[in-house]
Amino acid sequence: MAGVRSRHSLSPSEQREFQSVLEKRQTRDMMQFYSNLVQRCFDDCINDFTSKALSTKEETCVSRCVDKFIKTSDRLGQRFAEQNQAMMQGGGAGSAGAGFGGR
Amino acid sequence: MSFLGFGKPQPTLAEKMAAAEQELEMITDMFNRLTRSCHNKCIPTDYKEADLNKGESVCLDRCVSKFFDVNIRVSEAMQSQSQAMRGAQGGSGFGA
Repeated sequence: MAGVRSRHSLSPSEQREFQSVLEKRQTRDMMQFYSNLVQRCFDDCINDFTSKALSTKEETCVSRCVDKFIKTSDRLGQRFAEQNQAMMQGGGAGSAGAGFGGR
Repeated sequence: MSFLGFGKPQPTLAEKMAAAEQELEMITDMFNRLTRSCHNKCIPTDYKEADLNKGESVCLDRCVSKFFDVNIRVSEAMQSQSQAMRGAQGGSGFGA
């Protein structure tokens, strides 16, 4: 998740250290994203076990599922960042929804 | 947080990193939940096509907006609940 801003004021060197934390986390999140996606598309598309091999219908479904999910994620990510930004600037009521990044 | 004229010592790097990491954890979790919920609510599972159509896109946008609203409202409700509890216990001290 790029482009979010921090409430905690870290110095540049602290920022760099935090960057490596962020990167490790991003790798982990990516792997979880992948696992999640496999499960979702399997659950939604594969319901017929009369054959061992994937049918064309199932393959197409999985392919569309992946595309759609990635596009959905991208869109949600954009909206999320916008809302997050707006909330931080508005100085809203909550400790919920603050963000990260450089200053 | 109130400063009674002494001033707190600066948080250490470890403390700052831990706080920032915890915040990141919370935001990531929030985003993952939002993704799961909005996908379930807005995207039909027959996957007729690979692209998002207009209806789905609009649904997703509104979903994010409402999710944030709910987040704020729950946060406010919980804060007022916990304040009410503190008041009932005859709470003293300086408020945060």
